[in-house]
Amino acid sequence: MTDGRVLVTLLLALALGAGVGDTVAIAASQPEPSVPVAAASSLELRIDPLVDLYFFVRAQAADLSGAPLAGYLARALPATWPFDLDPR
Amino acid sequence: MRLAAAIEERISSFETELWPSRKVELEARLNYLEAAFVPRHREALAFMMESLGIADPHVQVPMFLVTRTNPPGAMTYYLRGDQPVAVVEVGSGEADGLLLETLLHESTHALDIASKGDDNAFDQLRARLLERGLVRSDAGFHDVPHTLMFVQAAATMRRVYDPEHVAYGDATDLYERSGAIATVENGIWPRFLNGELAREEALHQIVDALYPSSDEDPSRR
Ligand SMILES: [Zn+2]
Repeated sequence: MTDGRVLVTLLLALALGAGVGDTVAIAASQPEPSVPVAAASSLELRIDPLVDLYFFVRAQAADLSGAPLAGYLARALPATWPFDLDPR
Repeated sequence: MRLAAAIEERISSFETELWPSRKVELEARLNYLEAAFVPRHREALAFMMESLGIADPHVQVPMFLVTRTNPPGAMTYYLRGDQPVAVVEVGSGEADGLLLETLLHESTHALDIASKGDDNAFDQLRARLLERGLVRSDAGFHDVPHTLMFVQAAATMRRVYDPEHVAYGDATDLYERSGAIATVENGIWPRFLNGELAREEALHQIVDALYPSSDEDPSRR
């Protein structure tokens, strides 16, 4: 297995198996107006080992070997990982 | 390739060696937040949206708590289709109030994303900044709306959770680093929140103070 495929496989598992994909399908807006006492929108706090791993690796990129890893991740991620690499 | 091997090693050992203790740490923070933050968070979101002129987009925003991430430690990403997803580092050393404010700050990003095009306070600020000659790549074009997100999140903390809350921007060097923007917004925005100013007037005053119009200062053209 090539080195790239290890990571891609992991991230694919993450995207498909860890529930991240589930969050993409969000119920359509409810039509009735809401009283601003409590928002209709809400947050869903979650923990997930693969998401923790992903950001752990990102945080360690500099420790491991800096730019090469960042480039490695940048090449490996977009095809499989549902997050944009950079926040807007 | 040594680098890839290092990554592979980490991946294979993560679940068995690193995750168990991280899971304990994250679950403790999750339990804390479920008790201290979640019950009133929709009230907090409502206050923020009302203040910022955001039409409630009726979305549920996944917010992943992680043990470590790259700086600044919390970010809101976009899934394909513009669904916001937030990731927040929840180090146990961080003061509880600052963590709650961080969750609200990331919520603001998420709600801003989800309500895009709704002419909210950030959109209005961005439009006024463009009118004053800023371009999208200018630091101020990002920092003026972004600092207001911190000011509003801190005000929401005080309104909903803790009247004594110390703003993240004051507890860290954030407001100091943002300089005039934080000073101006902290001087003007609370007057809107207290009902002394209309929102549009407050936004106008903020932009005017930071980027005087060409009538007042022709050198800024
Ligand atoms: Zn932010």
